[in-house]
Amino acid sequence: MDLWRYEVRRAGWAALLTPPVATAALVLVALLDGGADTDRTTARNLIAALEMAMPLAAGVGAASLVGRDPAVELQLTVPTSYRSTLLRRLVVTLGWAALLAVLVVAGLAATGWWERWPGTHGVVAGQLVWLSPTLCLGGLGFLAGAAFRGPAAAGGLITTLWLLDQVLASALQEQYWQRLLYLFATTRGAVPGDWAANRFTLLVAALAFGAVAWLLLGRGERLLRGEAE
Amino acid sequence: MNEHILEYATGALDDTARAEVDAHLAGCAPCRADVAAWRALGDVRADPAPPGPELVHQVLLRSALGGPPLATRRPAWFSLALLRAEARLVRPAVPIASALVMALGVALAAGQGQAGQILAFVAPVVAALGIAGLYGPRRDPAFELVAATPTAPGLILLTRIALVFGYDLVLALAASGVLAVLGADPGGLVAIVDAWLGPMALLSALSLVLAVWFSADVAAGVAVVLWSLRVLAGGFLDDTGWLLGAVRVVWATNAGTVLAAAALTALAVFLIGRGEPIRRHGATYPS
Repeated sequence: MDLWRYEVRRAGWAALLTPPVATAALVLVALLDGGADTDRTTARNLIAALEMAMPLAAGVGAASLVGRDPAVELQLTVPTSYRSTLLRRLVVTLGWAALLAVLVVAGLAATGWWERWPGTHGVVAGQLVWLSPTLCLGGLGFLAGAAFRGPAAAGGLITTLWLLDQVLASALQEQYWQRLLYLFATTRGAVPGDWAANRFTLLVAALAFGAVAWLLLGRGERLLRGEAE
Repeated sequence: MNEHILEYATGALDDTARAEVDAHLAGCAPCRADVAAWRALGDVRADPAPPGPELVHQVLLRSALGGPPLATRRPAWFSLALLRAEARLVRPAVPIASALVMALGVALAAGQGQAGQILAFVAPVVAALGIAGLYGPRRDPAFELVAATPTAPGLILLTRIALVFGYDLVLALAASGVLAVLGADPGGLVAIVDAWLGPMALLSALSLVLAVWFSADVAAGVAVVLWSLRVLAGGFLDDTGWLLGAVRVVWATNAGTVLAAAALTALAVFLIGRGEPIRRHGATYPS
C-alpha cells in the first residue's frame, strides 16, 4: 500500500488534476454554455466529456510516465524491474481516470442526462464509452513515451491523433477499418451496428500497444541512452 | 617517543613521562629540534602584528583613485556559441517527433480539403508541448548547476526558446508553403499562416510561463486542456453559446494575441531564476 501511495505522489498534482479539470471543463461548457442546444444535444455533449476529455487526459498522462525519473540508472539497479514500476504508474494514471469516469457516469445516470442521448448503451455496457478510448490512448501514450523516451514528443503524438479524430470525423467513417479504430464512435456519429466492434477493437489495440511498450521498456540501456542525450 | 613530543613541548605531560622524554632528548638531536620547532610555533609573541587602520586607509584611497573596475564584455560570438551548446542538449526525439507529427497531420488532411485547418490545430499544440519541457529540473537533471551558472537563466531560456520555437515555426512555415503550392487550402499561404501563427505564439507563451512558474507537467496539462476546448469549439461544439465564441476569438492571429504572447514571454524571462531551487520539483531532492 505504501508503494502505491508513493506512486500516486510520484505522479504529481498535474497528472492527477488534468483528467478532472479536462472533464469538468467540458461538462461546464455543456451545462452553462448550451446556447440554443436541445436537451438531447446537451446530453450528447456531457457524454462527450467522458468519451473525449478523459482519453486525452489519460493519454497525455501516460505519455509523460517515461523520462520523468532524474536518476533512472538507480531505478535500473534495484531488484524491482523498472518497467514494472512504470506499469504501476500507468495503472495509477489510468485507474484514477477510470474512477473519475465511473463517478461522472453515476452522476449523469442519477440526474437523467445519461438516458437523454439515444446513442448510449445502458449504464453497464455504456462504460465502454470512456473505457475503450481511454485505454487505447493510454496504451498508445505509454508506447509513445517508451519509443520517444520523453513526454513532449509522446504527448504531441497523442494530442495530434486526438485532433485528427476530431477534425476528420466525417472522413474517418468511410472505410470499415477506420470506423473500427475511430475513438469517438458514441458521440460523433458512427454506424450504430459498428459500435460494439469498435469498442472491442480499441480494447485489443490498447493491449497491443501495452505489449509493445512492455517489450521496448525491457531494454534498459535504451532508457539510459535517452537520459544521456 | 615521537607521539609525546608535542605534549612535552606544550607542558602537558606528567612528571614521570616528562622525565622519560628528558632522558631521551639528551641523546637525540632530531627530537630536540622537533621540540624547539613546536615551541617556536606556539610562541604567540613571534607572530607578526595585525595590520592597523593605515591598511584600510590605503585600500580605500586606492579604490577611490583607481576608478570603477573595467567592465568585462562577452565576446561577440558568445550568443552563437551558447546557441550551439544548447542545440547539443536538445534530444533528437523532440525535433524528429515534431516533424513526424506535423507531416502526419498535413498528409492525412491534404486529401480532405481541410489542410489549413489541420495545420492550424496541430502546429500550436506541438509547439506548446515542446516549450513546456524547455527548462527546469526535468529538462536539466543537474538543475542546481544550471541555476548556478554565470550565464543568466533568462538568457539560457531565451536561447532555448529560439531553438525549439524557431524550429517549430520553420516547420509550420514549410508545411504551409507545401500546402499552398499544392493548392490544398483555398485561402492561400497568408490564410494558412494566419490560422496558426497567433494561436501558436500565445499557447507556447502560456505554456512557457506555466513551465517556469510551476512545472512542465502543469504547462503541458493546461495547454492540452485549453487547446482541446479550442478544437471542440471549432467543430463538435459549434452550436454552443458565448463562452466558446469567446474561445474562438481569443485563439486567433491579431494584435492582441501577439501582444499577449510577448507579455507572457517577458513574464517568463522575469520569473526565471527568481524562485528558490527547493521550490522546483526535483531540484534538490526527488519528490
